[in-house]
Amino acid sequence: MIWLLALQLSLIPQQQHYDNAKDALAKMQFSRADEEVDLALKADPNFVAALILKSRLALFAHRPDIARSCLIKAVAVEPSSESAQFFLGVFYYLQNDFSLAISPLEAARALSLKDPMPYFYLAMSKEALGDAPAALQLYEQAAALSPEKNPQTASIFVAYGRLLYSLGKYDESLAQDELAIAADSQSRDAFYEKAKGLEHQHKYQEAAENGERALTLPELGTSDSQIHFLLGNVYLKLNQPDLAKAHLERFHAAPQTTQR
Amino acid sequence: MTARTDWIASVTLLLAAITPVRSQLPEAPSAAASSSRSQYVGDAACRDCHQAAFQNYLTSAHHLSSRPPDATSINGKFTPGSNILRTSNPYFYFIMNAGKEGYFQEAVARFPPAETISHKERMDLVIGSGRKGQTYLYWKNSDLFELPVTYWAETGQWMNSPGYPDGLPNFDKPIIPRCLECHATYIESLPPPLNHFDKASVVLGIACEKCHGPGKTHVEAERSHEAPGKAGNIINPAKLSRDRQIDLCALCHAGPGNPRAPAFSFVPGANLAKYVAIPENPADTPVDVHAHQVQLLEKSRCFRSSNMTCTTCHDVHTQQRDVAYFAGRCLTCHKIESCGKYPALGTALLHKCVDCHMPLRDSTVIAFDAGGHRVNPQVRSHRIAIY
Repeated sequence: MIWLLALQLSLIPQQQHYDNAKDALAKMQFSRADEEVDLALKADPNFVAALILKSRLALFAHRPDIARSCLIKAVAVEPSSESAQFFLGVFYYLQNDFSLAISPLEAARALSLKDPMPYFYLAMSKEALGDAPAALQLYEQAAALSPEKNPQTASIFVAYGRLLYSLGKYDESLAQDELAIAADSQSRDAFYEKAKGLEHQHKYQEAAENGERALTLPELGTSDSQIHFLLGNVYLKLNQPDLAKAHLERFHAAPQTTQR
Repeated sequence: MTARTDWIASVTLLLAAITPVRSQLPEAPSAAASSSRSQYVGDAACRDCHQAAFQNYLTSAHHLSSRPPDATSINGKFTPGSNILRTSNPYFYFIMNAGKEGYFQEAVARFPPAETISHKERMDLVIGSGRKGQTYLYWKNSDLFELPVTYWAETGQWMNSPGYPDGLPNFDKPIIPRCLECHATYIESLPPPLNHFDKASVVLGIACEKCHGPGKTHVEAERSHEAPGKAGNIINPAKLSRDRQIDLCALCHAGPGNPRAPAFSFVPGANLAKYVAIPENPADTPVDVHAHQVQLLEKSRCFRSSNMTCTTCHDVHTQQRDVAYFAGRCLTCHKIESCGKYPALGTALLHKCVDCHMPLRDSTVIAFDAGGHRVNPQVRSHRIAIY
């Protein structure tokens, strides 16, 4: 009994540090969150939740090397952790290592069959690997598991619609964009994709309206220059050369990097 | 001579020794009498009798150096699309919003795959006239902090506040009294931490009383029926010695220095060295152009070979943006014909003195991180010289 109590007491510090780290992160105190999660891991190097949290902080701070080692360790310590498997899959997906992403995402899906996110990331990975039929099926499953109207659901519809667009299924693609907007009226990606679809259907005025709306939304993802390029072309087709010129100038003014 | 008469003689001699010093500073009140909030009456009290100076002063950068936030004082845009500061971190941006509850800066971080966290603070004070930019402060109870997003006039956009790393939120930078001393007329410090203040005591802007001293006694005397119209109980900086005039400007235009007394204890007419130690800069030492105008001016031959002060060129009661006007000040001592460029350019040089002899230079102490680049604002050098 005393042994058990001692064990419980010894668990308090790392849990306390982990809770402090989560609290600091919620307040956007990244340095303190880093310090606290390090203290939690110092007390227990195999603390899976802390390893995952550290990996997410590292990814935010452009340290994929640290994120990767934390997640690999988390999976090694607890292969049955759905979170560890899922975040390792997401990590590989974000690093464009799509083949490596499949295995942990499959594991995460098997561990939590009702969670739409492993399906969603599996779909995007399969799509990136050129397996469109599998991707379409997985997007459908992810969407079916996401009845809530929130940004996460919207991002599933957007990605699904984007694949449909690339496959030439424009009407179905637009339908997904509409569902995305219904799920999150602040989704910049959804308005941009809808504008693209409308442009393809020669509905230029509506395309311009949706593109302009996308420009006003802060959400990360679609860049300003992508939207300016689209709007430049749409206004050319609407025979509004001044507006087209203004948008194309802003497109050209964007930094010439891989992330325009 | 008895011990008592000895003592009286000593005191008399001491008073005699002090009197000449006091007579150099006839209007300077003692620091103890003038450093409390109750001695300040605010700009509005000056308006009735000094209308012309007051009206002009309202547009000056000094007056606008700190203000409460409102639709006219914040230059940054809140319209959708213009209210966003994207950063070099693809997972992170700032958004600025205006509403019934005030003006806010919100940091938004996206953690893949779908978690979003954010932190929002109200803009409680606007710092800076907006000519170059504005930074914003917020109160957390009685503690004052700088906000991470600044408005930068050169680009007309929001930008990371000076010294803030791009792509990370930081709402924890405390504002210490010495910072505020040059952006406000008065605020009362509370016991530590250093950014702990009595909010209600603040006198915003570099107000009349920053240069003329606390005005309560003066206003009360002028408003009384006993001695109206008799100037007194207030400092006229123009009547101070050259050194004390320079000290008054140097409080804020000679760098932060090393404080020797609490911030806001300096009063016009006092010897600044007792309040802030301004490091001496040897002739060959570079001096940053930002907020070091006095040191740069002191390195100038114009300054060393004349009795000029800051007010030889500047009228602090009004907005001065016209370099041609300042060229006119140069020509009160110099002749255009003596300029080396005169034979080639003739009278086209008339308004160009400042452009060539006080050029704009990059500040190295103020820097912004923007889009992966370091941006240094340009400030006019006050070392008057042939460049």
